[in-house]
Amino acid sequence: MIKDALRIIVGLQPLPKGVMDRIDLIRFADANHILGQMAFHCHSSGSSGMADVFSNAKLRAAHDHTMLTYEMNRVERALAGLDLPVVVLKGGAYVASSGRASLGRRVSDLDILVRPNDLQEIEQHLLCAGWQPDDQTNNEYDQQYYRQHMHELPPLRHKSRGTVIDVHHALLPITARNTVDEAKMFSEAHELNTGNLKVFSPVDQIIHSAVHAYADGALDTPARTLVEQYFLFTELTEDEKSTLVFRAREVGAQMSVALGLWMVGHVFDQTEAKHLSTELRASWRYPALKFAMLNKLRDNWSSFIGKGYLYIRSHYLRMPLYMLIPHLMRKAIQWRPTPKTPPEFPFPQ
Amino acid sequence: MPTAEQGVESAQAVIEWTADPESWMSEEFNDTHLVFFKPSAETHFLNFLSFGALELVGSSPATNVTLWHALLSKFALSEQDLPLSLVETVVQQLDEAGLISPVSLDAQNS
Amino acid sequence: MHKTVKDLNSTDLNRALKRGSFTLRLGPFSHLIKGPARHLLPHLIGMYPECQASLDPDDVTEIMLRLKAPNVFRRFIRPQISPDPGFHVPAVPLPESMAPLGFEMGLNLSVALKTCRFVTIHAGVVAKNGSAIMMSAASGGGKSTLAAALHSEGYSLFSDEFALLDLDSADVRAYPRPISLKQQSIPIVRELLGADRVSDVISDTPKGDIAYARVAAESLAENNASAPVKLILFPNFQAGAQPLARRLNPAEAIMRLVAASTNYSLLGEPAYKAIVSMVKAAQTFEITYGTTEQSVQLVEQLAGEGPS
Repeated sequence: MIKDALRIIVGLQPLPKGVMDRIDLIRFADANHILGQMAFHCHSSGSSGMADVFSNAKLRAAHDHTMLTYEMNRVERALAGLDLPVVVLKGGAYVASSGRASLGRRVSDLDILVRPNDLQEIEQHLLCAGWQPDDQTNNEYDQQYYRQHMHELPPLRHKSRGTVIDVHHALLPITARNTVDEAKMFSEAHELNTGNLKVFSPVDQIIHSAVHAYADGALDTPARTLVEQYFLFTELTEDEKSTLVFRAREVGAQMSVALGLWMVGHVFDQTEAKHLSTELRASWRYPALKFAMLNKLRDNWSSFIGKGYLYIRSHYLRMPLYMLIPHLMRKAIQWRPTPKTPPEFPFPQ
Repeated sequence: MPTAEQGVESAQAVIEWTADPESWMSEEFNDTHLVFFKPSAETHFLNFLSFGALELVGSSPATNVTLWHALLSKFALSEQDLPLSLVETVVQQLDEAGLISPVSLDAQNS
Repeated sequence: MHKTVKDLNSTDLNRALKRGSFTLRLGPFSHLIKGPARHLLPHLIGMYPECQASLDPDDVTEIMLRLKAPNVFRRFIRPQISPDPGFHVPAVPLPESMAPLGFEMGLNLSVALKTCRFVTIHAGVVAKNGSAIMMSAASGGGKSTLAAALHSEGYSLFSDEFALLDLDSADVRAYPRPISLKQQSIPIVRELLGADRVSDVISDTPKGDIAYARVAAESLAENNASAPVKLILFPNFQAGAQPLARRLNPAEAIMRLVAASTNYSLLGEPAYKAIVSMVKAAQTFEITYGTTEQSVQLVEQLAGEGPS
């Protein structure tokens, strides 16, 4: 079922005939933040209701893209004259390189990667241009925690636009068990034709996507990740595909990339991806991880085993246990109950 | 036009500003101008002075000083009515709103 | 020809609501609804009797609302519901008996945040003789009462909550959901429209006492009505105030409408164009009044004078 849904969404299978089936599919896509991708890629049904749903989704994504492009412009303005290289990551990179993965992709925050030595200067310039530490993390503990252990600055929010930028100086947390050689990826990033910001090469983009999904987080948006990696992979040229295995090893991302390719191969029947995945695999944890990923994808409620394993794994990957436990304790103490007063009808400021 | 050779001036003073008249749509209502700026999708509410400055920068690049002179003659104002400092404030606000940008940045972008 | 809510058999309605296949057609939208039939059905029959409806959807739709228990226990123990419009909303769970409130709030959220076919502006809209009057005010600003009062004077009600501004024509579309009433406005509207048009009061909701008033059948019948806006008002109720109308600079009116829109920034350029062209063709006033009668007189006066 889930495989069918994802294949319909990327256009590999036709839409189901029944209205209620279509409604379920729209709900699934919306809840997994891939309705926009579906609007662009899936086979048209010709129904006017579907056209409304899709045009809403496309407009939402278009709005995100406008905002993101403008934020990139603002970052360039803030860093004008510095002449330090900045790589735009994830959604921002897909939108900026306007490939298939960008069509309908929602984006909220801008993620950028800078060289560790440039971090301070860039942070200063962003602060001068109106970005400031987000309220949620603007306390001494979080600030210290981010700076000592994380691979990014605490998120910065722009004081008048309210937009958020994540400034990374590495692709994985400092305390992470896996490391990846971002300096190598940085050096092969290429400039966008719209300015002096850069993006990773197409091969490195899919590597980073895999690292982000499988070596960093708990795979929060599994459906979106899969759809994205499918587009990124199928858009590689034959030459690029042939360097993927070598490059993944070279930057130390073989495990994540193997897993990512296996998932793409499994869900979308991409024999080539499966093949490359087999070339890369080499770990005892691999079969267990595949199991956990599939579970995670299948259902968010019924697969406690898979979820639990992923949750522990994601924290385990991020930091050693002696640090993990105090961190979770601290987070528990800082947790505040949700306010009891009802939210007013959303009236924009 | 001030250039880098004039040396003593601060870096800020020699910035040349530019704007793309295609990037906005505007409507005038009783001396106030409503400006929809396409790149940010934001709607701004400008007075005659800010809008005049935007139009001038849009028609040809200008530094704060050249813009100041152009505004003085456009609105037939004296230097007492319109001090340079006010123009600098207007320019800063237009820059913050993204409506104008330094020529150097624009050159990179094109 | 489509059936209306009152034509449908309540057992079938019950089943369709539980299954989540019940479809209500109103204005430019089809709403697909799932929810606790026991509390929702009386509301639908009481407030939407003339509304087109079907037991099964014939197409997918942008407005899909589920009223569901916030967790598994709340399905059985002191049942609660929260509206789920298909995206995350920080809604407070309500007792199941307040399902009508959850339903109306949920639909408002869906329309406000889901549709991109119209500029949605937080405003009441009424129409007469082919032209519309828009009244924009924050919640509690008295726009529902004013809209109900004008409706009782023979204006057809387009909406007491949303102006739906067509992106191409800049006309407003009718979307006559029941008028939502809070606290003091309940007895006033009972007086204006007749007690049989007003629902039972739901007490002690997070918004205080609330009730709903049924829109006249004629307003519902003109399901696809639309009209150009000739008057844009920013009403301001102040107990004891003398009636007063102040002409507003159109630019200021536009900025206020932009602030009152739930999707202006999302739509961008087409929304800007639609609002500008609507305001340029209309008169814009801020009005202050102390009683409902004054407000109706003031509006009639403004609607009567000046070019349309």
